[in-house]
Amino acid sequence: MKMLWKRVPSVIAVVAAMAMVAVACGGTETVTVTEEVVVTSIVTEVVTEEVVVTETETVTEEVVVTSIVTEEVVVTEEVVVTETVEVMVDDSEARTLRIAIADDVEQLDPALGSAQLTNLVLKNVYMQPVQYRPGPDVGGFSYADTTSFEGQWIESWDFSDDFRTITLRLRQGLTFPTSGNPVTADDAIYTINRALATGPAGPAWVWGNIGVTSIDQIERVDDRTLIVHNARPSTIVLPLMRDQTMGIMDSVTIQANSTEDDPWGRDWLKQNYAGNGRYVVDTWERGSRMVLKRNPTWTGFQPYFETVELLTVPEAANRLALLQSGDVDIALDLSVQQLATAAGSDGVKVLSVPDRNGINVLLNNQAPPFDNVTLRKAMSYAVDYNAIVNGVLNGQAVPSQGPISVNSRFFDLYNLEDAWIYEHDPDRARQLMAEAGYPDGFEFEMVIRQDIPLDEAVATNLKAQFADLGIDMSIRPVTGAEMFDHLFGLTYGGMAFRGGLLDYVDDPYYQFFLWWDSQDAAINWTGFADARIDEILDETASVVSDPGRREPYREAVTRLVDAAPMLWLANANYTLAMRDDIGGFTLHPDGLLWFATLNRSG
Amino acid sequence: MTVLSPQRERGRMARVFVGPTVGMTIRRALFFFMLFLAVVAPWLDDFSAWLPFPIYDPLRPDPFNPVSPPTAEHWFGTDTLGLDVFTRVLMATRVDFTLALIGVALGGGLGCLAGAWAAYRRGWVDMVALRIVEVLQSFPVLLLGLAMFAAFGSLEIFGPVDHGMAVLVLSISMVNFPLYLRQVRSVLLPLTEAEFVQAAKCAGLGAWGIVWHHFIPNARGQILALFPLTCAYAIQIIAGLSFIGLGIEPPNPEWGSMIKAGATLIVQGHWWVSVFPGAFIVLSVYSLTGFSARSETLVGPGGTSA
Repeated sequence: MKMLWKRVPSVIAVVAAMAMVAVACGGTETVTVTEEVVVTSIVTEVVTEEVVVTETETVTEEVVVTSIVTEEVVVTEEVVVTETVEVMVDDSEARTLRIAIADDVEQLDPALGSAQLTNLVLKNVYMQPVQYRPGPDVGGFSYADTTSFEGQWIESWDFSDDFRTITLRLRQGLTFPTSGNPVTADDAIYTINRALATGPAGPAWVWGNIGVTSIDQIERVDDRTLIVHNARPSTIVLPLMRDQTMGIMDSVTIQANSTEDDPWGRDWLKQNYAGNGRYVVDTWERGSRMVLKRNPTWTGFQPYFETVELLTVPEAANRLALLQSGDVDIALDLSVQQLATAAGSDGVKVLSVPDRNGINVLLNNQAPPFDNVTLRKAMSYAVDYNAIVNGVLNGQAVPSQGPISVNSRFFDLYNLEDAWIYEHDPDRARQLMAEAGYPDGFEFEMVIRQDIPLDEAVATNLKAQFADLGIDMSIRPVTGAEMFDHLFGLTYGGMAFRGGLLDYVDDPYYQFFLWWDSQDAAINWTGFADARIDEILDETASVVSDPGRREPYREAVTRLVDAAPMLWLANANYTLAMRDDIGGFTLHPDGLLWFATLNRSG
Repeated sequence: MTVLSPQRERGRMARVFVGPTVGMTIRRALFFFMLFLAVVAPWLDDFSAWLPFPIYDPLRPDPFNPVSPPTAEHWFGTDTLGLDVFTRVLMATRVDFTLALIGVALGGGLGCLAGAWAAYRRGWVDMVALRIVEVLQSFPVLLLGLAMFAAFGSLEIFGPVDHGMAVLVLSISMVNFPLYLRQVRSVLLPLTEAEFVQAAKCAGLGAWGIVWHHFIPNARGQILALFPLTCAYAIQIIAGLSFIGLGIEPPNPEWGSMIKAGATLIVQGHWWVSVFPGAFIVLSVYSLTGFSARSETLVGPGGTSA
């Protein structure tokens, strides 16, 4: 008993705490007032009080209490006020878009971005020469029209008849909002010059593909006109000009912050902002959040959202929870299971639309065992594509049919389905393994990124599928940086898997030049080389008409599929979980969320 | 000073495994049950027809049935990859128990020898041994584990032995070596002048002979009391290191990595992925600490003096 009495204060404290929590969580819609009043007239009382509705939302609530009583009567009256509470939501709140992101933005120099998230921000806060126009609405969203462009910092463009000269007219009246400097042809020339100085990666690669390798090719006609000389005729000139690396920069500001050691102001621009995108960087608290404001100097179509807040929430489960509670409008990078959970939550919708995202496994073509083409083909037959598409990816994908996505407009245009030969056929896989000299199986290692659910799921499923054929695949998770070292250095043992791989431009030339040109490919992560494919690329590089490219590319795709340098497993949907009042989504080929068209119409 | 002869101690030790109380019997049964699981785990699949529970391949995901709650088909549900949690928890028993036992036996064995040697030789040998112990014990356990993985990260020196497992065992050994060294040294230090030691010396027995035949047996009580405790601790270390992604290569079953796999699912209500492996860690530690408490009371303070 004595012990019990000793615990009474603790019990009271706990009960009090629970009561406080209950009070804090309780509703505020119904107010019960018990009071003793002496009233001599009609009393009308207007109470204005501030009620905190959510952590971040403050509204003004007007409560009107009217009570009529007989003269000189003392009443004890219980007035139950259940009036409609008029909630006047602050418009700026509605005009704020909150997005939960997985990681911090790496840096702010458009010429250096690499992570998808950083590219996403750079695309929105810098202004590219052109952007795609949104296509027609197809059930609550639209695809960007990849054949139609609207000028951004250039107003118009003219190609000469031989496509080798491009005249660019700059948009008038643009300024850089943070400095107030006008956007001039000098800024454009500085931006191109700076891009060319970045080396083979980044925008120098992009300008190189347009045919610009020297700043001497850019002629400044007047303050609004530039002429690009000796451009390379190509189907992807305009698609490349919408690249997030092509954002125009405030040359005056950057030069003022450049030093002798750092003539292009790289160090400064990593941390600071000198652009004029549809949104401008307002504040950036490293590691926690970045706030973007609508560009006040843009005179064209105004985006709906005045403010975009990017909140860094590293744990995917927390991003999902924030979305479910309505604290954020969009949660990026959710796993397949979390998307399924989100889809079943109140007030949340999940967009899942066919896209060109490649779920591909890379094979090291330069080292045993996969330097053996027969064995590579055996692996392509060993994969259970259905388990990957409908199991691992929960049906949010379609089976892949080679290097050009089945959701690319060129897949149908060039009839590429004929080139695909693989299906899940363990017997054929065994037969090819025997032919390749591995009748009893073999061992190899697959490198994946650690803590990425998709990578782990794909690797674990493939391990089990290959085990049926006597193949012992071990899985080695590495950091993202180690993964890049392995891929660029071709030091991974047998296979590597690195999530979804997306070509930012939907064009077969882009895919082949990026991946399969044995000399110049920017990301030849398989070490594959084929002289005939190189020839086809050279022959078609400057062909700008589809009829002229159709047959060469059919041949190239057929050769590539037959050589099986990677395992093309699936084309995953683009997925995005958001509150159900968010509308206006347009899917761009680069998969980078474009804020300007989003709205809160639902 | 009371010194136990090996004969007297043997009688007491036998009682440790008898289990005089109900609680003791339960813990002992639990321990032997888990030990049994660890031994037979690889062959469970072959006898699935006779087993009262459904058993699956612990490495074969069912991508069409991820995050399924516990059912008659999957007693402990499935994880995000569609792997059967029940089978994996059982299979992980083998991994965690084996690694813990080997790690503690290796580190503890060396620690005992070094401790006895230090106690016998004293002087600079003792001093060096103690400094090594202090250096090793100055690192937090997880930091030591991380350092080990960083040091052995790309060194393929363990031949056919799984690299991650080998480094885990080494880490456990490194943690246990100083514990046993200190314990054994402190017990044996007063014995260097004991009559039976002097007698052994006079009889011409060499230093290692005295350490092996006369020192170590006198520390047996402490070693046996320490062994289950350190095994329990080792299981926690293995689970902890696996939780942060070190050690067991995925998707091989291991309790710590299984808890991690389900950690983010708990907030969505999918508790079973983490809770069952967690419960098995608790049970294994519970069963082991039970042993330790009992053996300590039997051969502890009243049995020997240090």
